[in-house]
Amino acid sequence: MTSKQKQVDYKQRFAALQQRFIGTLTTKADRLCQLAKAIAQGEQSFLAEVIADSHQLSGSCGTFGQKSLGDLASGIEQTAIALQNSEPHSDRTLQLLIELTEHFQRNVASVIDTALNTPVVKQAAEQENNLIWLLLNDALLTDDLSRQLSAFGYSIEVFTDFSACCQALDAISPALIYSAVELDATAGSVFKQTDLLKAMQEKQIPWMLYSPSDDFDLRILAARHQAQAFYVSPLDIPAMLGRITELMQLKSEQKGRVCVMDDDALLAEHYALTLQAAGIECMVLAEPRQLIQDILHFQPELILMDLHMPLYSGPELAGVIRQHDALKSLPIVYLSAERDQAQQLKAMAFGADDFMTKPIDDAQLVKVVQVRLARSRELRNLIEKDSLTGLIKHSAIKEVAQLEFERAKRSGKNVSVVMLDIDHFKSVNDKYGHAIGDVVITTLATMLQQRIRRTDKAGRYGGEEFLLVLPNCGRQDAMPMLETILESFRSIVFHAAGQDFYCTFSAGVACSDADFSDAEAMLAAADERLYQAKSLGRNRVLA
Amino acid sequence: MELTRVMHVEDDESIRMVAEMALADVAGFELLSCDGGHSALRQAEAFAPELILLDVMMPKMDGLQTLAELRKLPSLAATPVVFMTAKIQQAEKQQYLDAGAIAVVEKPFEPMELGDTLRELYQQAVQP
Repeated sequence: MTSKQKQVDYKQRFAALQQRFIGTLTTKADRLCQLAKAIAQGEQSFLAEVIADSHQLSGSCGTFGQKSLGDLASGIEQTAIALQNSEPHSDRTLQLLIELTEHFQRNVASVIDTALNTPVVKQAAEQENNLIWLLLNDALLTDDLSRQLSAFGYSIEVFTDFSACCQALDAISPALIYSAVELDATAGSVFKQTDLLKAMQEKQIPWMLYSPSDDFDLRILAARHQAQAFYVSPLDIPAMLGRITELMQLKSEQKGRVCVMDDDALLAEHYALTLQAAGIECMVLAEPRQLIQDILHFQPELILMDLHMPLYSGPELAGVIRQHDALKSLPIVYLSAERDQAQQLKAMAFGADDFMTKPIDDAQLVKVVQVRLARSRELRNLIEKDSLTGLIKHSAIKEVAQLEFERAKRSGKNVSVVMLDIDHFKSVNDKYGHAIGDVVITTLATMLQQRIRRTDKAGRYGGEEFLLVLPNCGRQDAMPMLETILESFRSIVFHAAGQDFYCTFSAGVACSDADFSDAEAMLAAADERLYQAKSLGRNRVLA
Repeated sequence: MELTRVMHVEDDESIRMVAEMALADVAGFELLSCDGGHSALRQAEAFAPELILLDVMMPKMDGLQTLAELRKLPSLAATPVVFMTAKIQQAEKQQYLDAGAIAVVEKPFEPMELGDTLRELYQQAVQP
């Protein structure tokens, strides 16, 4: 990058430096506190250190926009100097020094809290959230729902009055609220609970409604208050589960994964921090020769790349990325100060998808990345996902298996594949019809997606057959996971033609440690185990 | 004469980084950034700065000592020196001016203006 281009970016560079500086303050503040306490216990030799450190802080804090911290550091310095000049030490001055350093420590904590990436912390908490609140007064329905939702790995909390729920919202945010229109006659309908509705809206908690009867006015009210779904008794639990999973996935998928590559390490770090603050996972690619390995490992959905880098140009690296089949459609967006359209077109020819012209402000960066992520996700879903289950299609999941098999071979780690088939599925179809058969398939698909790890992939292999690819997972880890899924699946009650019925599945596992020649052979072995599981009486997992 | 080459001596890494941005990126100077007096002394002659920006309080060798050592190098005997330090008393400031600095710049400083400040101080110092 030429110095002229750098100049354009100085605001972002300064913001990055500020972030970095603030990040170092906690250690410095803790140290000052420790030193002051040691001095109070007679370790006079530390006084010089306190003077030097606080002097440095009094200059640097202000430079990085923390004037009040700088003034406080200056006060610590003056107090330490006064202490040095008084012999014997005055107790009052000593006490003041300790108080000031503690004050400094507290202020640093609050600066970090407010100035530095509070959203990052918030997002991390959200990621773990699988809490669903049920506001219902029907004990039977509550029981049934709790059991089935738990089978999908959700934690359930039940409320029987609106005000208790509203109070609980102060302390914690569930991932979803499922509420009956009315709990008891005195409190009135949920639409009269203005505090609760306001709190849900402020915390952006998705909610669904359950009504004993269908009513157009209620549906309008639900839409007006942005309820995500409206269910009428009798509740179609599998359909509701599908919708919940969709909502949850939407929430976690919106975040996305991005790789950043810029020869200016500070800028790259800043882009990454900015995107992370918006909840987007980010990896800085520092070493061009490691590029492909890093990308395969991190599996980004988008790459942000500087157009001009000293050793290799952006288009050259994009070319290298495009040489790998698995990365052919990975979107690449260039960050560049380049306004020359001819240059940009040339870069596009090498497989770039778009340009962002520097300097790009933080909010704009996040927005553009989010839009690109959403668009590429839509496209990928169309190409790769099965329309009924939302799982990866046959061809794509086989590709995943291939990719993971090769990666496992390179890294010396194991990958397991699982072939899974719903038992007696044909008789479900024959007895209850294809629509109910589809419900069973989507229910299992939903459960698989819900229960596997983030790095695992689930695909619809055939009609009622599924393929799971579990990287970094041996037989001994795969077995208990599948046993639990099977147990959950067979506890689900399906309703059709006025009857309740249950389903099971059989599964066969193969692991790369058995020294297969290729992915195809490993898949064949899993299929063989599945066949054995079927002939041993079904409803089991064999490895 | 236009100021182009600046040497900055500072032990605090964060200040060094922000000054690097302020002086090299924003002001466009050719900049040599040193983390202490010893490293400054090793590199100063080869770099031949037109102005030296010196932090006062540094471990091992402080600003005043560094200045004294720099002055022993023939090619740097007359190079303008600016001290940089956190808030100080007037008497202390006078001490730095007496030691031969052309000015004392206070921390905290405004990164976007530091280059202009040095440019002006340099102009005043080299005017006949």
